Amino acid sequence: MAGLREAVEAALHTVYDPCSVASQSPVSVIDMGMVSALDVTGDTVEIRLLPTNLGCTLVPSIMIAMEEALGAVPGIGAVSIAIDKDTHWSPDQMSTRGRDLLSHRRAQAQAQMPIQPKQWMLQGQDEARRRRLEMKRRAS
Amino acid sequence: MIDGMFVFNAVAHAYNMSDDNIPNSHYANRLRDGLVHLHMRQGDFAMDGAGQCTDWPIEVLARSLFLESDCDMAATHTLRLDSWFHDGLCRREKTVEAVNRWPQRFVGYVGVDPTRGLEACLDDLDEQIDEMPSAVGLKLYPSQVNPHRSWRMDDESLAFPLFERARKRGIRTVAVHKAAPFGPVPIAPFRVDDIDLAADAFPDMAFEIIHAGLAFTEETAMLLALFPNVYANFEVTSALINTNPAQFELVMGTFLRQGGSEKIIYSDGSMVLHSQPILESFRNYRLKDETLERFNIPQITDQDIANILGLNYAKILGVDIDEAKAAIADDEFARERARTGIQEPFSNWRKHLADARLEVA
Repeated sequence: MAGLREAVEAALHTVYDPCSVASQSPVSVIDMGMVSALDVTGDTVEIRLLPTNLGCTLVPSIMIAMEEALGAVPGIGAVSIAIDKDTHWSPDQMSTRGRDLLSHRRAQAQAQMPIQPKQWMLQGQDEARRRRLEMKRRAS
Repeated sequence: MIDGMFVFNAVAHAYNMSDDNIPNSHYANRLRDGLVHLHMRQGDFAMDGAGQCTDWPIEVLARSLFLESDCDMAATHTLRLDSWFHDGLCRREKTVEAVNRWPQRFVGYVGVDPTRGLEACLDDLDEQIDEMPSAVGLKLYPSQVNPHRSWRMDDESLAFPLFERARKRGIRTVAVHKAAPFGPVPIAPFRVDDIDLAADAFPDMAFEIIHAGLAFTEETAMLLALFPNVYANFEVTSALINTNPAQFELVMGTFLRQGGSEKIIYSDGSMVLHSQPILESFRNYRLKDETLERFNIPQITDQDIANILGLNYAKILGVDIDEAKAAIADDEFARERARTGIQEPFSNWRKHLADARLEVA
């Protein structure tokens, strides 16, 4: 059932990790590495869903979105999705495409707003802060 | 204390997870299920669902913190999850009881719900501070459900007058829940893109991003880098050290590079999570070589660990560590601990439930 497996993967590519959507860098559950196992036997599909986060409260919503996407695949039979509690998610599980997409978006963001590490404690910052607070105190 | 380091747990709660406290709402049930799941993932010592779905007494929280773990002091928050739980999940009477019975151990946060509007919030804030004049912090949630409604930290007509009043009444720090949406609700209010203007407008107040690093890690790191008064509060995030070490490593690398150890505050959210297993792992935590290379940062030191475990938070609140140590050196918890040694995780909770004749597996 190579054809069905490809169709299932294509469908899962249309389901996005909600936090990546909120970060304005949508990445699919496949590219996020959130599908830790995919088994297609006949028309039956079994999936293990790996949440990225301890206690992620959006897991049910992700599962519903996956079921809805798979429900539209022609010829699909029973679908079961189980939470993978045995594996720890890390960025290493992302696909190359997912990692490239995120690093590209981060590079874009950093180019727009260059941030230096520990900018709050750079030389002169303490004095600048003290002067600013004094100014605000006088104003109030 | 752990190896001589003062431990100031910046978030601890005595929830009310009982059936009586849950409105007939799928949002409420999902949130409670999520908290139960979070608790049970931490290890074999966790309570079962029936034990958790009860009203947790403040005394059990105090005993869990100071007899079963190396925590020296803790902050406890009045929670206003009013549309999820009838009493907001942790009602103000518990906060007041904690700071009145054990002022040497607890600091208290008042809590208001800004979706009720400014006037209601200011009245609520004043009433709570009148009742608990020693309050040090203000705890806020970014949204409510049934119906969905939210507010922003950078709202000059709602949030800023609230912060102004809080500052006038002696509140030093504002703690806002972020990065962990409560089930299938709008995510936007849980982003951190409204902290910057608030931190800039109130530079003499601290702003704690609660659950920092569970999501929006890069954006949070930018805030830590840019604003001297923005801090990453590690409630629940700290548990990743045992339950998801890879993610914890990533969060630590990102925050240490951008903000430094001075911008991270230890907390765990006890009793939904137990402090001691997290503290024991964190005490000896060191970054992997590949993390040092990836983020171009030096190895974490004992001074960094001490900063995170208590020094940073004490500095925010103006707590003198030597005075705090002296105040707890011979209190009721210190004396019992000296007699019994450190007690088993949640043994006091189990004893309470057994005494209350609740059925616990």
